[in-house]
Amino acid sequence: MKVLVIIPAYNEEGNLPSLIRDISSKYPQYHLLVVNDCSEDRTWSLCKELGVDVLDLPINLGIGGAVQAGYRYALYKGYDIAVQVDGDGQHDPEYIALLVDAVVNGADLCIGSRFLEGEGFQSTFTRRLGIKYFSWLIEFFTGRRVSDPTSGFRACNRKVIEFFAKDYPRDYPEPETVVVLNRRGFKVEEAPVRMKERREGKSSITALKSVYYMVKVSLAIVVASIRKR
Amino acid sequence: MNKVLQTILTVSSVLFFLFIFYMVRVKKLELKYALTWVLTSFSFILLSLFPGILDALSALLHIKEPVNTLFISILFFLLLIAFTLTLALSRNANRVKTLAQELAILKLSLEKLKEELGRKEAE
Repeated sequence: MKVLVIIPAYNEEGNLPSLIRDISSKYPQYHLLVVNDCSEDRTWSLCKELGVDVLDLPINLGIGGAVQAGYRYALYKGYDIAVQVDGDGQHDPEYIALLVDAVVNGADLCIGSRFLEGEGFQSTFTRRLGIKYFSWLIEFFTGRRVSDPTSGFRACNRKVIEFFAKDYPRDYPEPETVVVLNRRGFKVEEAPVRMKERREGKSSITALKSVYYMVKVSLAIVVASIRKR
Repeated sequence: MNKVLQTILTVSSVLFFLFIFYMVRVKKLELKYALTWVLTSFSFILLSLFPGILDALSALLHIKEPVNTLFISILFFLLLIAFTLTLALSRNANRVKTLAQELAILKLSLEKLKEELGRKEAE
């Protein structure tokens, strides 16, 4: 079983080294791939020093394009399972095995949810409210309940790798992909994980952008629900 | 339509048409994207040469002043052009994304190949 751990990173020199060391010591059998989304800091050289494979994007594509580059790589190199872990250190590598197990046991995509058991960092009140709203919206359109649709901590099998390599949203992809996969009949599951508060750097979603984020993702969910299959 | 206005419109729309034609000729404008512009400027020439079209259109659309019909038709063409531009932009953004991803994968493969070659030579 070939497993690829995809880590999208944009200016994450502060968080990456410990994350990479953590993952490679816990899971020596998995391959690590950092997707450097045209960072302006030392992300690239740090990864080289650590001897990790890096996909070095020549232009900044945003989170969707960066992650898709990882899925494309997984497709070409024949990986059976791909795991997505954010480069900001919020996702505890300990739970990677849990997500991979869920996929081995038949899920097409398994999302790591911070709300299933309510442990670890639960995000801020306003963000929880936003996530609740997306969760409700997705249930309304697909009939499936997903507690943490914005989580970028997920594992998927070969079928979903093939699909994502062809078709992946450009920005704010997480909630949209849940809808798209559900509509296409993929089996989307959740597993309880703990998340941490990000240690260094800034989140890509600032206060000003959050309104835009809400509107755009809502629209994306609606469009994904009525799009031709 | 007022004769002076008609003359101004005719001259400027012919000049505009010639300009578009010239840009295509010197290959600064792709013929593919020039089509909407050619169509637009050609219609402007027709409208200014035969203002009767405008009067008939105005009657058909229940617009009192034919000049308002002119404005509406200009707006229509502008929207058409803006839309085709957005369409072309979306397609190009997708293509650039795919190219960037493939390029990154190629770079990594090349690096790995070089490393392997270096190792083999060292042996």
